[in-house]
Amino acid sequence: MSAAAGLDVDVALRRGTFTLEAAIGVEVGEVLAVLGPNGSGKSTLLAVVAGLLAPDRGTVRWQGRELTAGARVVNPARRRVGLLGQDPLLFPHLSVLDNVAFGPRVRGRADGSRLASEWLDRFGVGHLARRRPRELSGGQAARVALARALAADPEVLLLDEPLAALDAAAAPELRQLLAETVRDHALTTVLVSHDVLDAALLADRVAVLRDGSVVEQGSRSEVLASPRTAFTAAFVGVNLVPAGYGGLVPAARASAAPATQLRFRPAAVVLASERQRTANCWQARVRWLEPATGGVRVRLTTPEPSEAPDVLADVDPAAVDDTWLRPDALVWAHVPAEAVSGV
Amino acid sequence: MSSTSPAAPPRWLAVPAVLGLGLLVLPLLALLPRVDWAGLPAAIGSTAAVTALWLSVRTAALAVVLCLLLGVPLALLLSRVQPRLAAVLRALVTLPLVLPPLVGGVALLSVVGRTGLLGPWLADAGISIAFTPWAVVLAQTFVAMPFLVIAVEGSLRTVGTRYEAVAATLGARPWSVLVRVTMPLVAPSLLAGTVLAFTRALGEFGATALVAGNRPGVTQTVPMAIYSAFNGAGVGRDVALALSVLLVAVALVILLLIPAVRRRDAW
Repeated sequence: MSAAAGLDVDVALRRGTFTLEAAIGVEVGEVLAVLGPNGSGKSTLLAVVAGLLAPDRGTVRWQGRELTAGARVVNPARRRVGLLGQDPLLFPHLSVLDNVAFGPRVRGRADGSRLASEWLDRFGVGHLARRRPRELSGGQAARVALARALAADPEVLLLDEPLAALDAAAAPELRQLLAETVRDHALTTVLVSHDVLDAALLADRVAVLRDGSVVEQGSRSEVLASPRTAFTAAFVGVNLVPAGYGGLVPAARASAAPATQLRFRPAAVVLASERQRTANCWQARVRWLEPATGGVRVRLTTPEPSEAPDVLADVDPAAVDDTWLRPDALVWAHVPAEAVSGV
Repeated sequence: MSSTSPAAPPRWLAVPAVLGLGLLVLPLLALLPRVDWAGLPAAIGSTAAVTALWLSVRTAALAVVLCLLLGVPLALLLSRVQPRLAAVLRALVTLPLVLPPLVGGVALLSVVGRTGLLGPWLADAGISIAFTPWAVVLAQTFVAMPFLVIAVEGSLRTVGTRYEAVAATLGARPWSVLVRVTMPLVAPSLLAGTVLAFTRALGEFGATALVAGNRPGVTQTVPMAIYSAFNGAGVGRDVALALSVLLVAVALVILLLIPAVRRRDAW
């Protein structure tokens, strides 16, 4: 990948047994979502970009300016890189207004209070200006923290699971607010999350991080709709299996090159206790049943020992019959050819 | 206390508990009947007493300033180094707290005494510390600083570095982070540590006796004056008793104030 003109990160770092070796690029004004499970190195990557952590080697560049080069790290205070985490971390000894005015004031601006009021009003929490942080609800604190981050006038905004600690009512509101804010201000943003929804609503581009490495990076639609690795597929809830798996044959494709992998959605899989068709049908063992949005997700193990991942099948809860559909049972799975696409 | 819970400690433990409290409190209460209350104001207002008090307050105040100037940076260092090194440093810092103060006095004398480590160098520079009020301040700082360092370091560890990181990303330079975020966050402990250090400095005796001596008006602090009185020299016993009661009262008020201060600032 060619170096991005905006934020260009290419760093390596070891902490005990964990190794982060990641390269990401974000164009000016673009939102990149970095997806990955817990422990994949997302927060470490953000700490390096923010200048809070020195990598063992590698660089962080913003619009051509070197912010980090190995152990040489420009102080976070001089980077114009804002950071908003899962914990709002409002300064407990300052009022809401003074929290938001903190950034402008340490930069020597005399109109910090006025700026802070404006940001608070914009996010609908102007009436809380005199409160102490401990008097706020989770959603209010998150808004104040966002106002504080933006009042410091960052050029790059790093969001580290900003919605993870919020309850089900507050999260969608803040997600919407975040989406509007980064768009309105054309902020170059790196959003770290383990929630695909965040990426779907906020991101222009998506990078997937696994065990400290970027395994996939591309436009949002590319990565979310057509994942290229089994890991990403599992992450976004799509099945991706090697060609030939379960005797599966995709519908005729335009490209002449033979597919190496096959992709199909869990909802396209039909399960039955007996073999009902001849084509695109294979026998699998049920690993377990788990809840899924609007139904039940059945996780099937691969027919023979292989590297292929588990296959997911979404079934109607009304159709779950525990006389044959239960953990460890052998079932027949079927996917219509038109639902299978080759990669 | 209603010990209805079956998991509560055995009731008979109240006996040694009360005995322990008595051992700590009874001697101090026993001071009271011996004091000539009618003559108390005159005793405390006497020239000898006022001289000792004034010296004690000045030296203890100076010692607390030194504790703050040196102890706060030391606490910051302790809270930021890796755990193993911190454990070693913490042990070293705590040492003056548990050592017999006389041993501290001998140790200080072997640094600033005429034949001490820095003695010849100090003499060349025309500076004398031993047996001057400066020695009083030195001894007080030596025994009082651990209180401040331990209190502030514990608080710094609890607060952690996350607020500092946020402040930095908001544009605050390191000094600004320290003054606007770190210090305010540990302010309750800083205040408590300062007050404890002042109380300890005010009561310092053992190390002072060896390194500063007991010259009225020069190095005779309140504890030294009390000691002299019971050896039949210097201020009278009535004055000594009055000063003792005063020290107990000051310490008690301070100790009762600390929890109130901590509560007020519990964010």
